[in-house]
Amino acid sequence: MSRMQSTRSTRAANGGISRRDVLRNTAAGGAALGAYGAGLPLFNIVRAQDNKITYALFGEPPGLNGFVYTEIHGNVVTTNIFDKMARIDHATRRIEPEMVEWKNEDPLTWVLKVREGIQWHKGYGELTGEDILYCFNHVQEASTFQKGVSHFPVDHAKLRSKYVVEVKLKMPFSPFPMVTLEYGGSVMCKAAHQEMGDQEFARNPIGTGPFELDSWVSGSHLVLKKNPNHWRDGRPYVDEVLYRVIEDPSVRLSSLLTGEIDIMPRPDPKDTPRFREGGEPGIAYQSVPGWNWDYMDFTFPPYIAADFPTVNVDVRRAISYAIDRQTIIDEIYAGEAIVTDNPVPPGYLGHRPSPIVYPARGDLAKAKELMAKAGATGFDLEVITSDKEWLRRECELVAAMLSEIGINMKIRGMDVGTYSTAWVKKQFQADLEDITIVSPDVDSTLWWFHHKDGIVEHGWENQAVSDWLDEGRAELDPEKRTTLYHNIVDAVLDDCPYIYFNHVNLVYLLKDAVKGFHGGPQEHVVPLWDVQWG
Amino acid sequence: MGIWSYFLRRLVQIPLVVFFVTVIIFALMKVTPGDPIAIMLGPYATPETMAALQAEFYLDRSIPLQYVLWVRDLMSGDLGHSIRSQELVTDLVATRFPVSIVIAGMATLVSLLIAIPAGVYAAYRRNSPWDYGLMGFTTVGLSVPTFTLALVLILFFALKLRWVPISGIGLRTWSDGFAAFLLPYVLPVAALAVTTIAELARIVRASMLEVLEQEFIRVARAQGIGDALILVAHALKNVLIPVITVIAVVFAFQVGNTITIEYLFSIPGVGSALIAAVINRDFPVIQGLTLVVGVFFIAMNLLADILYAVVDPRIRYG
Repeated sequence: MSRMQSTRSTRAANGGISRRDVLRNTAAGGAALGAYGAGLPLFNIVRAQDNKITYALFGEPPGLNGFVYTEIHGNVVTTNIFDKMARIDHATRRIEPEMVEWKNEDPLTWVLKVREGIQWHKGYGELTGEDILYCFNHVQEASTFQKGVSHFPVDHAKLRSKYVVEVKLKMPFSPFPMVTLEYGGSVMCKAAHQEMGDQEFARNPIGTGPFELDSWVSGSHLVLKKNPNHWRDGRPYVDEVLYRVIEDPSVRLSSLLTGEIDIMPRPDPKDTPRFREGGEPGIAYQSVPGWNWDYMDFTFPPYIAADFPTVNVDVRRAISYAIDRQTIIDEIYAGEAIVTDNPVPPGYLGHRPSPIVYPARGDLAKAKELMAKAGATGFDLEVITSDKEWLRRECELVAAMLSEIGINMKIRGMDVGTYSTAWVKKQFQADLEDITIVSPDVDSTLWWFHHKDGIVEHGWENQAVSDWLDEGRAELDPEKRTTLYHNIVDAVLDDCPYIYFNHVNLVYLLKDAVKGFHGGPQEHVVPLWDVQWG
Repeated sequence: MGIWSYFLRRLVQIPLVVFFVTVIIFALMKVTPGDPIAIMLGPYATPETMAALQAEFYLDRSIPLQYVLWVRDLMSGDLGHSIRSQELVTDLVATRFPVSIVIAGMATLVSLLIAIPAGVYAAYRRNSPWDYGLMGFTTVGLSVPTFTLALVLILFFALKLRWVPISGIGLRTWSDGFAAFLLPYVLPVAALAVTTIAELARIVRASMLEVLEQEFIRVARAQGIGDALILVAHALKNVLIPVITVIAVVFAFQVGNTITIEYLFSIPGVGSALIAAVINRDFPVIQGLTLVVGVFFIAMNLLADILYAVVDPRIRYG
């Protein structure tokens, strides 16, 4: 040790580096770097100058072909690449023509007139009726998912002239513009799709939308460039949209705060109060009640024993009364949801202010009374749910609420695929889940779930409800449809085959300087053609 | 036994190890719950579409036959394609693996550049504040999970100080300027390097302490050679033997560690692809990427063994 100390002293004396020198130099270097960093935000690009918007996706799209992929991320991007035949205006709640105008010649015949002069991206020519016809035929021939959910009433389509297509239905279907032309109305370029095939087209989509795909770096980002030939006057306003894949919500938020992105969806609910209260200068907050539900549903005989307690309507009503919906909203969603006890969200035909029957804070006394009336003294109830973190917590909360009326809820979490299979095959006692309603017509929020032939109906049969649902599909008069849907909702509230908790808000955070962004109630539809720097 | 026969003996063991790796990966995939077709198509899929996809991915065959078909495809260089995106797994490996290798390589390099001098200096100043400080750092470095450390780095250096961006790897090229290109690497590389610095610095320090007690060091000092020369020219060579042998393994582990780091920093590497595939039960991608990472580990272990044999001739005859 003494030898080492003497060596050190000698070296310092000879002009070597002493410990003090090292400390001094490190401190100086750190200070210089700090000043440099504070003065020069090297990475914080001011996007307003290059007229570019950066949007954070919370997952990577698997592909950009709307006839193959149904998930959110791809649709967020394709909203801006593809136009639709018709589009819902969220502000007015009206369905507006986009690529076609329509006429209902008779209950089974719809005539579509294509807007002339719309150009496909990248020199693929003009949109014509051939493209529309190609899409109608493709859905039927390739059995894409649209066949089951939006094109089911279509019998066939044929070309009347270059710009006119006739669609014949199998049955009268009044929501045809909303369901078939809007939700199922994405149109792809016939020439490009035939040339590329599904797989290549999904990586190189050719649409008519305000932006065209410029590049896609797998796992990192997608770049859309302004379509110079777009038909909307003067739009889009920005030259480029950069979609960056940032899966972690806290990293998305940090990236917004550091200026790396301009708009972010889905902040962690625990982070939203400070933005809602305007606590973060330079960051704007938007929150819209989503077209979705958190709900609980049950199976009925023959999918469950006829003497199982939840087959008794009073037990199901008791469960609905025992749920404190407001607490779920406060605890799970930090206030970012609205209470409901029925399946018609705000903005839909037939919506009524919620809750209609079951109080937001629940009614435990009433619930206990109904359990006693049903003779249900306490039982185990297995509840399946998919592997979403917020649903697991919601299940725990609901389990605590139901324990108050003697129900021992056993939670069974599943991955999404296993869950979907169990749900569709009706292999469960009860289910707690959330769902996004993808079509803007009330028929879609009710028919699939409550009609005796609906694909996600679980054995509950109510002939009157099925008849009303069929009548609602054929009825063109909105007032008459509204009455029918009120009847259906009342029947569902009375019999509780599904118990609805809330509609979760869609929350977006964005830079103050971003103007023209309006988060809609559909998470998978995020139009950016009105966005500009203020 | 010469170095070449040692190398050949290790090489012929590889197919057997790879075979076991394929069996384990395949078995794990089969016991993992989840239906990838159902996830991809959603609850409204038509039965015909589901059946067609199941046939395409051999999911309608018996499990042993599925394994045989998978291995048959592997032998012809076909790792399959993603159920979710239809992307070829070989393309995914080609685009994603180099990114992970670069991150892991940078982290390993930074670790070596810091750990070796730090370890040497701590040993040279044994029981000094420098030594205690380094040992304290290594304890913290080894204790704090990389994920937690990454979050702290984001909070401090990106959010508070705004010195570096959180993400951006893959977004910028050299043409955007050196700083714009390189800055997104700073935090992920730092998060990965801290643990390795701690590990390597401890190895270097312990090794250096041992070497400094050797007879030849005392002789060198007796000859009046300065401490700096003794450390660099005589001691360091011996100290580096254990370091060289662990570099390959450290590098391989860094590739494994990038999985969480890639998720946090939105890095388009093999780790983020693997996480996305796991979430979506995209079995061909999970199988393909896991196999590639597994083979990479085997190769790095082989390299470590060979390096060990090269730098320490006593080993090769073992």
